[in-house]
Amino acid sequence: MKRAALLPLAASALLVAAAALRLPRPYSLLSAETNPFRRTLSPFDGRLYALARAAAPSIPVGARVAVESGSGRAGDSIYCAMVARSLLPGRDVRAVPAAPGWKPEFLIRVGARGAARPPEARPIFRLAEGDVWKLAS
Amino acid sequence: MSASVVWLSAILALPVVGGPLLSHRACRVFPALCRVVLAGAVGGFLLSFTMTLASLAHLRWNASALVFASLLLSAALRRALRGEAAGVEILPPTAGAETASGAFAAAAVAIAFVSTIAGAAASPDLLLFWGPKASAFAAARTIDTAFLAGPAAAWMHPYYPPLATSLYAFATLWAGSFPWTAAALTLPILLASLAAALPPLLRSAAGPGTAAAVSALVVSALALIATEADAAGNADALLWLYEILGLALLLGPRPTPRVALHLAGLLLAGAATTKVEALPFVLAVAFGSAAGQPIRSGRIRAFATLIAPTVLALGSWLVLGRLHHAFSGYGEYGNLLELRLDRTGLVLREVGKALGECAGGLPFLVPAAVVIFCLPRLRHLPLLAAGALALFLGTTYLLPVSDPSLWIEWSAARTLAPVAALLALSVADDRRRRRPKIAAAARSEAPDIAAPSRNEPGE
Repeated sequence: MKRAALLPLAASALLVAAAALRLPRPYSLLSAETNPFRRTLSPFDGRLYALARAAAPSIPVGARVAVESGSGRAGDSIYCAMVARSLLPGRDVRAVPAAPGWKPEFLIRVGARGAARPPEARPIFRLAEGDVWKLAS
Repeated sequence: MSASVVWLSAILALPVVGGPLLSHRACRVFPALCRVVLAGAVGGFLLSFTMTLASLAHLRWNASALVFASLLLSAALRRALRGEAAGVEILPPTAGAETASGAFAAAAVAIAFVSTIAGAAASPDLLLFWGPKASAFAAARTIDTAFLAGPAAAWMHPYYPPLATSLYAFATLWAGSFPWTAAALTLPILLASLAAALPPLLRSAAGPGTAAAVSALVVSALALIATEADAAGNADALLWLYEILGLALLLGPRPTPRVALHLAGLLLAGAATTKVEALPFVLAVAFGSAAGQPIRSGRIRAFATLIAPTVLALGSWLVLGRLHHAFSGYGEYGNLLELRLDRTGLVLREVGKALGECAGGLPFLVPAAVVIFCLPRLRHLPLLAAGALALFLGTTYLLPVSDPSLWIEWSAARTLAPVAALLALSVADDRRRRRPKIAAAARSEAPDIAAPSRNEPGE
């Protein structure tokens, strides 16, 4: 085999080995859940995907939805609202805290397990990824 | 899952669209599978171009009508190859290095597939703008300029070129929904397409063993970057396919055969209408390739052939944005006169850090090491394109944004991925194969050489 071919071939083998070592553990691939974002670098995408998919049937088109990241950082909540807007098309999705006068009908809280129950709210469901609440109108 | 399968089946329409052009006898230099991939890539560009033209003409999209109109465009382009003689098919690979290279490339594609299925490779940008824009376009059955101009799309980079969103919208029209998993799975599909088409194209520039090994290096570097930097489902993999195949077509003997110039021009236009940073790449490749032609008239013709589809396709996109007040050129990128040159050190440090965090920098360091070992026998065109792309991206990071660190952390590994692939491509060099041969001579003397057509000027 010529050196001109051997060198890129060895380099390719090295990169394939590096990629294989970084794959998720085989047993974790057997999950029945289909969530294309559950192991991505963003800490919010996978959780929001799971929450939004579960919440979509309960949140009608046109509803006002507030989104809270659970991290306590406003920037994270804004990012979560941007993602949730993509996953819940047709809903009016905004980050918490929203503009004064805008009254949400639903609240999606990403993460924040064990956080206090929002006042006058009814839980729609709670998942490991977060919870979704119907707020008093 | 069934929605994903239906959505992905729309991809089958793309080689059909490119079929009339790629079934021309001059395209027989490429093996069948390579021709299917090239037809798909050309078909994707033509379909996206047709969708932009339909939006300009205020015609609502209909999947069947779009395919039909694109087919007509493909058939019209076939006429540009009128008089071109039949090519001699590049012979299939033999054994040895090619088998091992094929196995490594297949393993890289399989890893990208498993990583995507495991939910470890999907791009945040798919959620933030590629997916929402495609869904909005499909719902409106046009490039929805009112949506692009509105507040909902404020962070969605309205001016980003339309190919990825248009093709996603076409699949959404076809399937009736936008399955996120299917969009993410375009990554392994596009890498597999690259792995299938690249080795035969490189066999006109290097020996079969080197061509296959370089292809495997390109695919494994891109697969590692894509899975580490979460690029599944965004436009990067499409961009890589268009850029790498377009450039590979131009690495063969000089003067470059007319069929290679035509196809490369269409693929470069596909790149330019996929992402902003492809424009300097396209200009560098067109200038570099034209400059390498042996006669003056050939240089002018090569440049015009390579650049014309980009001018038409990107021009129609920019006109659409301007006419509907959705965006004005690539203005968001800022003013080149306001570059923060004082941040050069910071940008270099942050880029180095971002590349280092992508699998320890391996997908960039390994191709660079291969290039150093192969000095001075390197192809200049990929290096020129890599330099232009790196310079453009570096300059972009110097634009006056408040703090480029987070932007670089998010994007540098993905956007600089073609540089790693281009470094690998520069190794595909065999000086004996730069000499043009007529078809008959190619068959008898060097059976694996892609021969230019008989009526090529300069022969």
